[in-house]
Amino acid sequence: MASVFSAIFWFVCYVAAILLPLRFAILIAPVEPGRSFLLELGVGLGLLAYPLLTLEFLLVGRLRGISQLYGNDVLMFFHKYMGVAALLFVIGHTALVTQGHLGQLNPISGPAMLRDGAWAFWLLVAIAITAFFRKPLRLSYGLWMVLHSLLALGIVAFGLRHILAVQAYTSRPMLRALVVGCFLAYLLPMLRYRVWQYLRMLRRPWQVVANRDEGGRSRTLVLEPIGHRGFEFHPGQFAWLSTGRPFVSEQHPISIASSAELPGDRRIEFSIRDLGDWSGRTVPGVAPGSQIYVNGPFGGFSLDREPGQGFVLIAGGIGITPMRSMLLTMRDRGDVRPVILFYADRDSEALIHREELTRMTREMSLTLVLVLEAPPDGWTGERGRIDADLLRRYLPVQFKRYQYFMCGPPAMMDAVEGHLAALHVPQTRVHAERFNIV
Amino acid sequence: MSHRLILRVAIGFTVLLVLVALAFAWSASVHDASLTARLNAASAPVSGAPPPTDESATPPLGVGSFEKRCARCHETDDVSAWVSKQSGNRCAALEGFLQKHRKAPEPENRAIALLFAPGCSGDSQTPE
Repeated sequence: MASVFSAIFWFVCYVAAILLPLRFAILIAPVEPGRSFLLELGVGLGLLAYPLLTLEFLLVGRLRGISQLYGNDVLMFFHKYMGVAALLFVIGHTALVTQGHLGQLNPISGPAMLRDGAWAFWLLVAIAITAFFRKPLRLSYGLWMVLHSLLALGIVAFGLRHILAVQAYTSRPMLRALVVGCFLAYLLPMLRYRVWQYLRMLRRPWQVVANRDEGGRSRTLVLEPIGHRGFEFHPGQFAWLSTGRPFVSEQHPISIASSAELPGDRRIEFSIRDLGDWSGRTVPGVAPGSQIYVNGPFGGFSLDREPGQGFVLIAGGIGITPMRSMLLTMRDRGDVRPVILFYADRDSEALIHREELTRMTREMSLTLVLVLEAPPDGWTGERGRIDADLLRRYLPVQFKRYQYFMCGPPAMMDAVEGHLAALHVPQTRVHAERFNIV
Repeated sequence: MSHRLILRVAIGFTVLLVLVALAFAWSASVHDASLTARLNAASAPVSGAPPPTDESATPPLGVGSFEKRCARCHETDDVSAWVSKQSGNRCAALEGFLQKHRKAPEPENRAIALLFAPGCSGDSQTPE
């Protein structure tokens, strides 16, 4: 319950921070008489868009407290939606303030104030295009991450110069200070993320103990901390992995697949499926004995945070990894609460950890439901996709008191979310972790 | 929390922000209207006082008005070029544009117009 109040409190703080520059501008008498309603509306949208943009980074800037409080999935989606809102506000601001004079969107010529605004506008358009069309544009995840960060820096820097140069409402020192504060709210977490956390990763390397082929184009990396005690985590959380040095190598968010009840050597495991990028090019070649860098844990997708009479875990493809961590942890803790695991994939070769999961049905109160789209001859499990009928057949009478955890590809998650809503499962009991969002 | 719930929260929050922006614009406009009324009242000719001379619309005032109203977004060369491209009554075109663009007080519009189209008499800006 305390976490619910914390989540509400921090959300209210976020809303207050977004509104602060505009709230202050409302208190100021207009700087020029005779300005139209539409022009003031454009100014208002601009004064909302800037704090929205600068606080975007706080949502996804690897701040552990925020990540655990709301969950990575919630933050990623909110970040995306608020980015779209900020883009619409900036478009509205530009249309209303320029009043159709499109020449003012030329970032090369004109007064510096307009050039800065134009740069911020076009960089924002670029960041939206590359975020929504990363795959059609064939941008690798690593390159996209670098591009996204650089574009974001450009947007907030040019945006700051533009707002301060306007000298209308922001001619007031207090409002200037608030706008600079917004910029710092972006810059400081960014420096913490890009410098402090990277240095910390370098000081705390991990060693690859094993690189197991799990079948289904998936591998499991077993890691052991070198000269430090690793980290505690909740089952279902994820960490950022870098197979090279953090400052120059890509980092990838990967769910921890092993038990949160750490063994004496404090090893942890990550199961990674070949998705045609780093996961397929680099991971298979990571040799035992090599060093790797880990930053974690992050996320709030964990049964530790959600008390319930029982749990329903719904996994698609490599989405099985956080579920495996939850199940192993429950087994190691002697947790007797019932669990139903729905595990869907295309064919039987794609299923990983199958023997271990089958074994766990005897070691704990686990019901395993395997669902294949293209089952082999003689398959005795479920066929097709996870739908409301299938769920209804396996769920117990008191299913509304269970907690639901889903992890898988976006299309499956959207479908299952609809099925759970159709079954009247309370939305507050449905927890999701999507991968491949961008 | 489900995806749909996040979407609803995001949409609700965005709508709230739009409403706040509208309230800001309305509030600023109301302030503007009262301020303009006060300025007009303050500048109304006092009975028996001499009428304002044309000095208030001389180029130096136009320069000041341009700096105040336009220079943040426009350069003088750009405006001169625009004026020279206008066919017909350049003065009327410029004054019409100024009125539509900013709603600045009339004397300032006239001063800016005189700056770029010296032939403006000051009477032609109001279309009949």
